[in-house]
Amino acid sequence: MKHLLQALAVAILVASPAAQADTDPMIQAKRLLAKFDYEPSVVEVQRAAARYARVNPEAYDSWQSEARFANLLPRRLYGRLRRTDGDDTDVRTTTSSSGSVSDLVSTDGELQLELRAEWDLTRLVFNRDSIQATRQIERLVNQREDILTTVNKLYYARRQLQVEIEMNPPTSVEKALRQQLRIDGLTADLDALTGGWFSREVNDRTPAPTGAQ
Amino acid sequence: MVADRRAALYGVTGVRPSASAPPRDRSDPLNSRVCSRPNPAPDKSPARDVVRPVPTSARALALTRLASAATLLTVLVLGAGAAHAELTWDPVGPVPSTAGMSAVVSDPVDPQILWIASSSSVWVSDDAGDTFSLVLQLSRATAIERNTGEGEQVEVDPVLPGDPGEPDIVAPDDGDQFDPDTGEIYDPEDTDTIDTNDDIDPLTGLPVTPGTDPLDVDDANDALDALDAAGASGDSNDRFGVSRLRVLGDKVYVCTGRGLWAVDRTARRPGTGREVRFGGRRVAVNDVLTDPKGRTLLATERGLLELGADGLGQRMVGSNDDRPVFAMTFIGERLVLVTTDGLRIQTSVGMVPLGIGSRGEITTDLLSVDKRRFLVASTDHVSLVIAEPDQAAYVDASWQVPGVVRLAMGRSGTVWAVGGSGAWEYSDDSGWRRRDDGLIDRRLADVAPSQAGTAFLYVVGRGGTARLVPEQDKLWTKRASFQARRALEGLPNAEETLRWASEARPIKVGDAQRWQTESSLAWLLPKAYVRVISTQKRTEEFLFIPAIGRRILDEVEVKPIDDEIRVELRWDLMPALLLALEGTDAAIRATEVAARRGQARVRDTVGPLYQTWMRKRIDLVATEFRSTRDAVRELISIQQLEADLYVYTAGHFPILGVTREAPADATP
Repeated sequence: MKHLLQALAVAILVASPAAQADTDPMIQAKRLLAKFDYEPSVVEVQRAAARYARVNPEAYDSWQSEARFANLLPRRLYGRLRRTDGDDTDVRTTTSSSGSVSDLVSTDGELQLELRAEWDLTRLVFNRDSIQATRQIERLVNQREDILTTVNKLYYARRQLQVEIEMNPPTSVEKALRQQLRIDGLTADLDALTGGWFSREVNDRTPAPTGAQ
Repeated sequence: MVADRRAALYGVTGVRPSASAPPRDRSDPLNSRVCSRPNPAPDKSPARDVVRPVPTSARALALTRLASAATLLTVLVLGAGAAHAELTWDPVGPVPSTAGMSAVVSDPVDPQILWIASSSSVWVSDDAGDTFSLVLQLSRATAIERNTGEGEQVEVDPVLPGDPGEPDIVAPDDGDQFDPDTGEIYDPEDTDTIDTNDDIDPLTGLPVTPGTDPLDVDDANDALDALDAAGASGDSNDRFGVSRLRVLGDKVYVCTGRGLWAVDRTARRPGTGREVRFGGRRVAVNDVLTDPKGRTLLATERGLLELGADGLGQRMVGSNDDRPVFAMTFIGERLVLVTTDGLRIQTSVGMVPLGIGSRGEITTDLLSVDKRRFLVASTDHVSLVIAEPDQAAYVDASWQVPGVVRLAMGRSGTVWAVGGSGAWEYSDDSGWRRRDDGLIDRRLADVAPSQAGTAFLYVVGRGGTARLVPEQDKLWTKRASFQARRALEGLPNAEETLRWASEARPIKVGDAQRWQTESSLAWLLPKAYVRVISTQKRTEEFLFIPAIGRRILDEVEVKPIDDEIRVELRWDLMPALLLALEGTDAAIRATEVAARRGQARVRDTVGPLYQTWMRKRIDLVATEFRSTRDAVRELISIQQLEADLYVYTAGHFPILGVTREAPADATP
């Protein structure tokens, strides 16, 4: 009897955290959200959207340095190659002991190479192109932020709907259809922002149903 | 001369620097320009005031007052300086769910007690904002009146009132639950994420929380935001929400766009709120005051009403029109009103126009200074009006205070103005000065003073509620402090986050200065031209070979005969001349503007986002969730805020569980 009571006490102690975990809304919520871990993360979707809209930092990071170093090269470079062919000839005839005759013909020509280069050294200190580049980057950054925060909204709105369906499976066809259409709508919006990448990734990563071949 | 400089600096329109002007009353926090004899003619233009000679007796009186006030002034200035040395804003209160908080009032007896209101709820705090209790929740569907735009008020979809004697709060029905976070009642079965009071994102059809919508940030500095935050805009949510709170007698009056409500001053839970009905249909009530005779006066959209003992409103004697009244105050025993055509003052013949406050201005608040002076907040200006009894009133001074919507008299007679661009404090030395330290969202809607205790002032706005406290007192309760530490341990603080967000902007505010320096020095370097010419002579020798009968090339000689290298340096002085004549380069000026706009975007977007995120994180630790649904919503909401902050900080801010491994507890 004593052993039985001890075993019961141990069982209760061991079981209670597990039971608590099963009923704790926060733990359940985390488990629920973990069901969608196979889908692309929000950061991945952000990167895809930035790439698609060409507002990713890699696209414009080098603009400023390029604008600055471009001024090390000359602003203008001018080259000219001039060849003048004179008609002056000098013919000399020589008779050698062997009886051979040689003519020496001297032709007079000129080759002129001209190279001109122009640097605007003021632009090494202050380059107006840097300002333009920076302003353009500013616009791109604003655009990027708007796009990516829109992605966030869509992504988490979709996730919320997914979780709602998990928690309250639809009880009628009409309700199921309506909820699915809302998810599809948000998926389509994310596709529009990522050039179809989101749907492709979701399909690729979706685990095969149990028992499927 | 000092007045001249200040006038130039602050855009004072009515200052009258004159040798004959009386000495200033230095004990006066407004540093007023006292004139015992105002302009005898009604003054239609406040900016055109004329100095009148001061009678000897008045001058003597003024000098006497000056002498007696000198000592007091010294004490006040030094005392106020010491007291204000380390003041900073401390966010408190429930997290605003939609358009933030719209009104605040403090208890005139116990400044630790304050009431705050959102568009549909009123909370009270007994501990200067440490904790709040919901005392009134208005139905969002209750009898909304909508103006047709043709001057005709029509009722739209009214909810029939119950017994007028019964509390007219939203009674929770069987399915409703109490939200411990905000104290509001909600329907857990309502899975629709779209709330009628939320802004709707046209892209997603989902609700957008103002202040967290990045697409909304461009409006952040718009003057309309100030009015919007104050409930003075045409936005329906604000218009029908709570616009002002007043504590009168044993009641707290809640002025709303759909009527007047009264809550017991001692109430600490819902149940005592009653709608004050004054006959006929509901009407927007903008202000409520008790006059020296004990009558309750209502400033309504249909004119000035007097609330009778029978609970019915009647037009006040002398108020012979139904012009909307927006605000009111008493100077001495005289009532001053803000109406659609300017200010009006109570005289023996009724409410007469003051000739101040044109149609082009929106006057949002009045603040009585003493028996003959009051301050007026209107369209980016605060004006000091002097209204001697039986004499024409005039504007004594006017200062530019951007976005001002409400005024308050703080400790030591300090004047405060709040509005769309933050909180401003008036001091004799520096005029109006912005006081934003610690205030994350500057779009404020209301202010309430606190004459004692730790908190010096309370403000509400888009970002919720904040109190002005000495830096060392900006501490949380022990429990809150523990929870906050636990919730935010290892996570970025506000300073870091704002720094990251600032660094993520391509244009920094200092960049323009750097470019300006560079452009002013660049002309010192020349344009360089380099020319190299090389000339060579070519000589060919042919040898005739008789055996084959042909000449063959025997020798080629190429000899340089001339080399020229020329370097030219030319200085262009035109940029230097233009710079000297025109000042800053237009492109640089535009860049400076863009930089400041970028910083404003950071401040107005990232600050409120971080604040909301931080509160939600702390709430996540502090709250025991009743349902999985609530927990999931909160987790998703937090993760979305983190994702937004991740974007604004160029990837520095962590998204727990995505970019950084989440700790074991309290993280998504």
